[in-house]
Amino acid sequence: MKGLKLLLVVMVGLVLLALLGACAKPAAPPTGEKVKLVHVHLTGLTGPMGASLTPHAVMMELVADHLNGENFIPGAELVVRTYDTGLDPVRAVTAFKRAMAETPRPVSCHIQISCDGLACKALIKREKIPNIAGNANPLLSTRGSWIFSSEPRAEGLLEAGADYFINEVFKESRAPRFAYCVIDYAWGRGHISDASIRYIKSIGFDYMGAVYIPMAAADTTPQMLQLKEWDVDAVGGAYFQEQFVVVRKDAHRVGLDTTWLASGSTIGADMMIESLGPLAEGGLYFIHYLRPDEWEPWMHEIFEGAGFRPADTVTGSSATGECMVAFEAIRRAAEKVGPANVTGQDVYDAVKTIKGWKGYFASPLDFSEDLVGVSYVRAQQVVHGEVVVVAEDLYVPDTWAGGADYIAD
Amino acid sequence: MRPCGTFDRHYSEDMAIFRTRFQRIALIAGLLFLFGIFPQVAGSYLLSITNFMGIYIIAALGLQIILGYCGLISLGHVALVAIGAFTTGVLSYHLGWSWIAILPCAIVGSSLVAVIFGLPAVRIKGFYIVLSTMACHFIVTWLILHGGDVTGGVWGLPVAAPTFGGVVISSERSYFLLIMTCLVIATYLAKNLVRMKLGRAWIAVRDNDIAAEFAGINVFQYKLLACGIGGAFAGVAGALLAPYLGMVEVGHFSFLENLWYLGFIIVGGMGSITATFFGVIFLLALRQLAMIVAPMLGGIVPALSIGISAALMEISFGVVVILFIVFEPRGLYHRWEIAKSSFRLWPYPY
Repeated sequence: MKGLKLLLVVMVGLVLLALLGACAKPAAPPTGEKVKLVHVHLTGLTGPMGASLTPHAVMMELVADHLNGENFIPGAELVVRTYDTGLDPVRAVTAFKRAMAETPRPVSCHIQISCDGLACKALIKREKIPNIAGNANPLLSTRGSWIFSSEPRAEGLLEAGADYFINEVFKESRAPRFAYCVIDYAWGRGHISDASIRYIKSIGFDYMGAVYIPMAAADTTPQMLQLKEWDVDAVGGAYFQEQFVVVRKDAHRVGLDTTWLASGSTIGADMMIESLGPLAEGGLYFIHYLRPDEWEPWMHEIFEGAGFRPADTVTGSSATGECMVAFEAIRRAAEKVGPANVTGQDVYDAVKTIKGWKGYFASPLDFSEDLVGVSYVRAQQVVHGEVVVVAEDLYVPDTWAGGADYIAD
Repeated sequence: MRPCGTFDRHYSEDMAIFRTRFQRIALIAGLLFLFGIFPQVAGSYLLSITNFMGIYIIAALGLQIILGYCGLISLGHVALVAIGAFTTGVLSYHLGWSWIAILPCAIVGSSLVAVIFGLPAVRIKGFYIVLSTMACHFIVTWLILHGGDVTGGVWGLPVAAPTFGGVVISSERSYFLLIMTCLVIATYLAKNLVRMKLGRAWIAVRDNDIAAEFAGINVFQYKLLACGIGGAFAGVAGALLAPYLGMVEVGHFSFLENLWYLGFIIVGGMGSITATFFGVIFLLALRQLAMIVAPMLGGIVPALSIGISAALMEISFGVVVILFIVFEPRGLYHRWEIAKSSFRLWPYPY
């Protein structure tokens, strides 16, 4: 009984500590220390995407540590502060507010999940902290928002793949049949819109429909049977590695023979070779990240030293590429105003100066005109157990309303 | 429980919630602190935490009525909050209605949906009503997701800030005043509901529905009333959540949130309005503590940083709920009552 009372008193005490901690402000660092430039990372470390996003978050922190060791920003050090949102936008909002209350105040952020980004969109602009992330959907990177994307438009990515397929792969005289297969989540569904469907039809496809894969996919047989019934020639897909493995295995099991056009932002072809073996043959991945043979030596050192799965190269590429955009912007801001004076506005202005900068991507970035800095991807294919780059600089159509490739109803 | 020596001479005294002078002074002081002092001294972050707590408490009051008083286990309460939020979003975005006009619609909408999914309660209870309420959650979220332009589909809808006579509620402080006002009214209503014949009937149904039926209580009617009134509270919470977040989308209302709501009731205590406050404040503070501690631990032991921050919140929630179920099934409020009694009787043991 006494033990129970003690336990309850301890627990209540912890709660009070939490509330006090919310009010506490840490003391200022002693002079002479490097200025800390904080980059906040809100991501889904728990939940169905945790397996993919956790190593991604670790890689970002390791990249920051490496850059600090190289004195990337003289007089300052980069600090990546990671918060788990668990794919819950309410938690994302409280985490963002918590991050803003910390000292030193962040100068940039990276909100990994689209829904979390949407929930924090107004806060980001109000706090004047630019979000430099890899999600590109029409509601996030709107004009006037503070959300930059180092990824191509999700909605155009699969259309780029469809363009490539109909021009380079499909050799029959009839119209090929196309269907979408995406995860049943905001990011997945964001690849499909009325405008993207009209675009698919306009380049010569018979559009059959869309199927949706649950986030925690254990069996996708019904969806694969639907695709088989449609007798599709190409399937445009957006999923994480966990779901794609299930999809490919179930597709093989039901006898679905089609060409898989996958958004390569979240799926590594190397990982698919390891997970799927011969089933990985032929899949096309549309990606703007670097191949491991294009990595700099320090990237290999970090990646191998951290103990990641060797095949999970997309984590190494995507994490490095995405965070380097923010770090480069912070570096430019520090160079202009001095490390001690960097604010979110300075970083925002610095991002806008990024033009023709290849960074750690396959094609150069340009944020001078648009909040989406990437308009080209490369196509990778698994051929005889190896990943081969089959095409470079594939244009990603801008099918957002008002975009260059938008087709009205 | 009344302090020793407190006697009622009138019905009004018997019915009073705050019976003694000390309780009334504490009430006034508490309201003055809540509306006068706290919003002035608290920073933006603390205000945002208390705002979320206020919204969650209003929603949890509804679940307390459904589960704690009427004994209907519900895993669909989040869907009712979603109904309130999306009603607010749809009416605000598409029709431009003011928040005051939207609020009754959100209440009626959530209440109606709650009653519809409470209809199976005429035949089933216990585990089976759990499945019925789970169905509520999945059906509601599916409808929202496939609502096309009406609900915004997967991307949701932006929601305008409430305005009252030209005053726009946009800052943390102004939202705090709005949410706390709604919370005080909701608490007053809930407290009085459970003290009425309605509340006594719910308790009778919860404790033994067959005996209640024999005593002349229309069990089905009171179960439906519990669902409807619980849904109304959820509607208010949804109507506050939508403008506070500035947008509403289906990702806000995941199924796992239902477990948190159940946790609020278990940790706080079932069958008490005040217990709801304890449960929500404790678990949400625990959530914040995990968010604060995880990066600190990561700074001390870098190898644990990501792993700890990923696991700490979920692990601590699970551990706390299990500890309470095993060691204090009556919740924090029961401990609070014991502590209060001990202090009243001190230095005597009984």
